[in-house]
Amino acid sequence: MTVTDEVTRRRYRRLLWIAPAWLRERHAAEMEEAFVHIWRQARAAGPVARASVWVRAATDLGSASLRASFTPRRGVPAERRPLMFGTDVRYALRSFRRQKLATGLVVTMLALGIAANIVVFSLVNALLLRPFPFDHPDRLVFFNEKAPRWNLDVVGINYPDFWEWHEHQRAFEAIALYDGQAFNLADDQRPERIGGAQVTRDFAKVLGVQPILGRMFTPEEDRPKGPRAVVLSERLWRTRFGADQNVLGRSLRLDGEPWTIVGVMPARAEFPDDASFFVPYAGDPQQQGESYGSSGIGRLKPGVTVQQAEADLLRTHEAVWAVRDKDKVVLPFVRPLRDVLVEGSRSAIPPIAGSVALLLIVACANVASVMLARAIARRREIGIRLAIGAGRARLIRQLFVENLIMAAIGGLVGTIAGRAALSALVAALDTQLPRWANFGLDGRVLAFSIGLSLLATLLFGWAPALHAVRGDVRSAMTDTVAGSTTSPRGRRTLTWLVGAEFLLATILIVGGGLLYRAFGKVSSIDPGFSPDHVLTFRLALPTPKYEKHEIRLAFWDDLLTRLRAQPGVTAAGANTCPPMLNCHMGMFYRIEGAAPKKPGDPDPVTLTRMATEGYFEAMGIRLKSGRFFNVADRQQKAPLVVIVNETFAKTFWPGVADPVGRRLSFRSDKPEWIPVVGVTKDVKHYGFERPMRPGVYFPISWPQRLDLAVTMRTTGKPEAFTETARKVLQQVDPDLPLFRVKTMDEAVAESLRGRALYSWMLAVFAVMALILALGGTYGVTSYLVSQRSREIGIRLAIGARPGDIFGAVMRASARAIVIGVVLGVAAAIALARLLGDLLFGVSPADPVVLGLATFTLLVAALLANWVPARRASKTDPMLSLRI
Amino acid sequence: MPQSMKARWYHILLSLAGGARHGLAIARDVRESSHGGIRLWPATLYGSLEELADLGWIEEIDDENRRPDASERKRYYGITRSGRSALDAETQRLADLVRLARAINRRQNV
Repeated sequence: MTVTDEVTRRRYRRLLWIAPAWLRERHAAEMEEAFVHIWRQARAAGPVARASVWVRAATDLGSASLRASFTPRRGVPAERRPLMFGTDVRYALRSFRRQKLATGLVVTMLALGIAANIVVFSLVNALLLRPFPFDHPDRLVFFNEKAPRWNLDVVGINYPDFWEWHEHQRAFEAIALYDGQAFNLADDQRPERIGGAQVTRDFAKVLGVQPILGRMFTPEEDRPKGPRAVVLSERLWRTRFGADQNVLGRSLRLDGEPWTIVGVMPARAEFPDDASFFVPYAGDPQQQGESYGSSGIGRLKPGVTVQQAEADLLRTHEAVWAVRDKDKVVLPFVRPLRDVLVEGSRSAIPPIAGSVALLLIVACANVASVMLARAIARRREIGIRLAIGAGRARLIRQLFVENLIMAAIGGLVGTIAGRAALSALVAALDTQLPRWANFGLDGRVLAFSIGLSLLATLLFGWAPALHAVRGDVRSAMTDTVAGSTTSPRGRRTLTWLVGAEFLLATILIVGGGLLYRAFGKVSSIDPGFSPDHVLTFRLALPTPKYEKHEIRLAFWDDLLTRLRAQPGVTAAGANTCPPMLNCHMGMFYRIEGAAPKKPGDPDPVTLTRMATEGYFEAMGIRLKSGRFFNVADRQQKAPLVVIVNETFAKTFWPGVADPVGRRLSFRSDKPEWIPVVGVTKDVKHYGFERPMRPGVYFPISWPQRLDLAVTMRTTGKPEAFTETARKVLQQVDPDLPLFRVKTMDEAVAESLRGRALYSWMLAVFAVMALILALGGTYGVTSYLVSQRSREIGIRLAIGARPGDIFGAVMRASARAIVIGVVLGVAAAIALARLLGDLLFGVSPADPVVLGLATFTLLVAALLANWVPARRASKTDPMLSLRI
Repeated sequence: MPQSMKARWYHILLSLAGGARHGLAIARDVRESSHGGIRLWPATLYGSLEELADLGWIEEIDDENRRPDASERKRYYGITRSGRSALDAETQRLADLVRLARAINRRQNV
């Protein structure tokens, strides 16, 4: 027993240094006694209680020490007070006022570094750290089906599969399907296309949201041919119905049919993005044939992991394999919902966060050199204070308080600037960012900026503080006659700080350069079409009016003929799915003469589109052999023909020089062979960086209802033709809205936007780092030169030539900078490997980037040192000798 | 109305009003008189005693049987005249408050 007490006592004694000295000196023994007393009571209560006793004891000592520094005890002179925080603050503010320029510089540099970090952290916070606006967001998962043998990571869910899971799963509280669905909304206002979602009955239950009015769908409504019920989003309810409380039971005309409004969902349930309304999925568990295409969300039961949930779905999926999919081609998978939603931005975050951290370090190194220069300049003052009895610890503390205040101001300015930059960025990105993401200020961002300011203080504070205490009083006094040379140690530290800045700046510049190269490489890929001067927009023909196939064909004929007749339109056509607009329809084909597939053979899916004549010309797709479609191909009784892309030809007819004339068929029991009439060059349908898939085009003659996108090639600015298109459409059918109007240049830019964004951010950081490093070396050299003016004057007086002085000054900093750049290049090559896919095949040791970066850095450094070196060589010896 | 006194000061004064005590005994008294609400951790306890001594409300009392090693001895504290009047003033203030609160309560209950 006594042993334990003794140990405790000793440990507590070690903690006592936190307490103010006067308390410790008078009461140490009794304090130990009192603590042991408390300890004895906690000892029996378990490890948590014991730990908490220690934490409380440390807090107690710390707060006593803080209290003592703010409420001085009476009768104690200011200089003897334990912390003298107030005095230090006063001193600091006084010295800031004296050195407005240096202070402003330091605050600006810190603010820059901190602002950049705040922007990046706020993005990360909103996308990755903040909880979703739903209950228990960690239990929300995304599920779908994949088919590795079809070369598809995401197939989309087939409703009967979903039903099988729905009936037998045990891992979820609820699961639901959703799928984008758009309708033409026509009322007395102008026709409009609105996007919504079709969802199964448990959708709201999965998200954990309650309708703000009415209810979600009943099982009655969520079945084929059920009553038409619609749930509005809060947005649609406010804009279309003026937030009318009596909206329930009223009807909404969608595609000409009345739908009864049964509920209103709150704004936070805007999922999937931009859903303005929800309609029942109304899937048929007995549906014949397969139709993959929906996505699923589920809410896990508490304690169930994503892996367990996936295993559970696989278990229930066995039934599907047994009956329908005997080769086990399609299988379900489950992933955390957030992972799926932020997929695109995830890989770019570590490099951006890393570079922005480096940028802050460069800024801090810069600040450190300014502060160090100040500290050296103040050596005389400090020497005097040491000589008349000030403690070294006391002096360090004062410097530390100065740093802390500057960091606090820098942090505040940086946070404000960072928030401003962030809101500009968010506004610019708008549609690219998920709607649920909240970029507002929260505790985490605040804690981050405060922590960052403190970290900055530590980063830049060490060098000046060390210098303040090292060295003896006498040399401090004699060293610092105005204009005399700085001590070698101070000079060395300054020079190496500059070297370190160049090292880090090199890493950032090389990294930015590599990404810039990669961006150039990606955007110079041939997309397989000519995006300039092309306008696209979508149309949807509502069912009752356009029920009949002939009427639809007549509509397209009329519209395309009129469009082609417009002045300035050189080609016009329509297809189901233009490139780079995020659409996909996959199908499987049988190839004439191909060996029958063994189970387990890869069976890549084929991107399938329907197109009219004129589409290829309008999009600028190039023909490799054969012909494009003509008007005859889309006549109702015309024989079906097909155009394939190069990848299709290579995949299914390897070694065949020209597949025109070969035949393929849909997969059915009785193949109807369709001849290939043309082969096109590959079109990068999914974006520049995505792999190609086999692709085919059919004419629009087959009798299915199709929503087509019109593509027009124009002689002038394509945007200007939106009105032309609208006018023409008015003549053909005034009730049809024209939607998703986009030029292909925009579509291409959007598909590159993610890459453009992070390449651009990294480039900005690189330029900022370069400026900081140059400012740093300029400042340090100027300072050293001005400190050495007396020495230089003497040297000139006794016969040194100005050229010698110039060379000496240049050489002084050159070594550190060259070493910094060389190490920086090596580090950059090593680090660039981490960029992985972002580099898009650009070598981390790309000679152009490395050469340019090194050249830029060295030449810029040369120029930055040129000015002060020249000034030094022009020193008037008489002037400095007279001092 | 006079300014309120820190709760821990009040309880310490209250403890010393019953006679001179050393630090640990004061802490125990305070724990009891506050029904366990105030636990004085070492630095707070001795810090408060120093503050109260600075204010002249308590004083250190010479201990007859102190050991020769001064730092090892227990310090006894007693309340001073001005300490007692500060304690009385605070007690009076609290009593006034209680009376006021009861009066308001009664009016609402009618």
